Amino acid sequence: MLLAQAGYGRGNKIHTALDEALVGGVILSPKDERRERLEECVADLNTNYADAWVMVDPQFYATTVSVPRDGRLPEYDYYADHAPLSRTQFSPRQIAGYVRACLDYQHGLTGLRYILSPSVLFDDFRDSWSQIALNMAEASLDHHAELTEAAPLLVTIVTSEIALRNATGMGEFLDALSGLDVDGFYLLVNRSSSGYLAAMDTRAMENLMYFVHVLAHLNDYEVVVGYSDWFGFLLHAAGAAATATGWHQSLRQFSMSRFEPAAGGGRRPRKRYSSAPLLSNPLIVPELDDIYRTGMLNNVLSGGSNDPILDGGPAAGEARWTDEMGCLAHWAAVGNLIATIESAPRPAAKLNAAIQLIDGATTLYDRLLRRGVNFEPQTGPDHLVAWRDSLNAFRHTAGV
Amino acid sequence: MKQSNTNLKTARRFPFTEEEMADAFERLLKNGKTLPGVGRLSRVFREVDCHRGRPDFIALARGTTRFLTGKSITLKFAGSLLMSFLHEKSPRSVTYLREHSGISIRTIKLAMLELVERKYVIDAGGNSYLLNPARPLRQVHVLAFELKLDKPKRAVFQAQQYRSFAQSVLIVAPPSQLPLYKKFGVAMRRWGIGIATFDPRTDEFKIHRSPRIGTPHSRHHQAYALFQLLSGAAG
Repeated sequence: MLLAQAGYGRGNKIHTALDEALVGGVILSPKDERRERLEECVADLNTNYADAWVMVDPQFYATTVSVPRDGRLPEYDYYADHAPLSRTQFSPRQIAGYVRACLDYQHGLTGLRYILSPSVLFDDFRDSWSQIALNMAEASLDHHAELTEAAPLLVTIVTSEIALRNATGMGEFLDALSGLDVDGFYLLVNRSSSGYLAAMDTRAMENLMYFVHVLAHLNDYEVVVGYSDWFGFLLHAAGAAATATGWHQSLRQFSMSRFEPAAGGGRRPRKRYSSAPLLSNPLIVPELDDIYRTGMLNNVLSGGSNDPILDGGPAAGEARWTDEMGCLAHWAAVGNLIATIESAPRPAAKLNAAIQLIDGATTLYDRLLRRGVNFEPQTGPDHLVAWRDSLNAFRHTAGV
Repeated sequence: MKQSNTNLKTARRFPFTEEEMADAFERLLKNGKTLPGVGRLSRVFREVDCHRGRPDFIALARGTTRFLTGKSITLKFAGSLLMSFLHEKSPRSVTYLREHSGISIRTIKLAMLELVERKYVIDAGGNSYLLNPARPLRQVHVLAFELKLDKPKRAVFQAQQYRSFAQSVLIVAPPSQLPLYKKFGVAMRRWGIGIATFDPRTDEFKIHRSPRIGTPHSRHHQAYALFQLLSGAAG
């Protein structure tokens, strides 16, 4: 299942996406929502989309940023009463207080599919922050058990691309997690680059797949991976129940830089098209327009309802390609990939389906490159090689 | 041409820097003579941000600068996007503009107020608008120049972007770099991008393929670029 990773400028995107069955739910962002507005949204979704998975990421990890860019988070008591926090402010008693405030707030919101525990970021599975994260997980379990008729709990794990390179440390951490009596996990991976990169480090991606596989397939937990964007389909092949992606590039990969002071206002992003056949987002101009000029546009379109706007030439149609259309088209494209994986019956078949998608995209890129289509590095085919390498290595390690 | 640390590396391979090359080329563009394969130019701007990249030079063809007698607007992005939906004879309503542009009613009204005041747009009544035929964008002929010491792939990519707002785009490279552009010949022909060589030591400018003149691919970015030129951000 694909979830909408919400952020600034929610508008009607989530409602439209739920109406069109492009997403199965939403992970809301308190940083970007006034408290009353977020609560209204939860209530509205509960009333009108009873089957949707609605969750609120408490974003407690932002408390450890010394000068955080935390937007609306101070309006939420569970955050405002504690932030900012240094390493010395995580005694067992203090942790119990943070956890209580955070879980109680979510428990008070009717209609959440899961309650998400508060957590902190760690860059090493053996450092003190990882231990704090484990302590917070255990405290969350304890407090959740005291709540009456509470939504099930997902324990939040916020690790990093750097930490995921260390398979040994990860294995020990997985041993600790797999002992928790919880419904599942909400996993976030802090990327090494604050700029968008479709592929993460090959080894880190392999280990992330293994991490999901151990929790989901071997231990039967529900695993939800936030900010996973295109590579969500690989995580579904490894066993994830849901992955999420949003509308801005900053909602498509997780980076703590989103919570750190920014240098200044960014420029308006260039418009992109989410191509399921290419497994990437080429720029509408010049990349998609160049593909159109080679006569191969239909090979890269995802088949969305708004594609006819670009049929007559992407450059000409670009002005009508609104940000909302781009967002909905992205969810449709990523969601279709996930549906392809989910339709495969067994883990091995899911991995085969993922390899087929990658191979199909590689072949298509080869044809376009032979015709002289010029891609910038971010949208070129490099990510496909990295994904394939990670997937093959994971398959070997997991024996699937 | 962009100032960067790469200049230090490329300086070892070239007897001049990108900045020296750009300075010499600017003198050539502004000397008032006809540029072979390009024609005569009336106005030259250096490094103007056109949202679709920042060409090293933008020049206007002789006799096509009437548009530049107007004033710029503050809401450049929204204003130029809205202008791209308007026509000279068939009015477009605010509702239509909101549905097709994704811009809020509030911003549309603010932008339209300014566009009408500056005479780029005519208020047709009933919350609908027309382009002012007395200030046609098509009257302006924009030429964009991309100077590159090396990195031909990047040069072609940027030149492709400039076709959004320019009628002609020309890549200018040192003579020694010309063979490297062969690989991109198909794409450059597809986009009508020209290639010329320029040696700042001798001021020798040689056109190897003239740029093909064509309508800019995006009316939105054409209007945006012209508002940028009008705003005085240019040199």
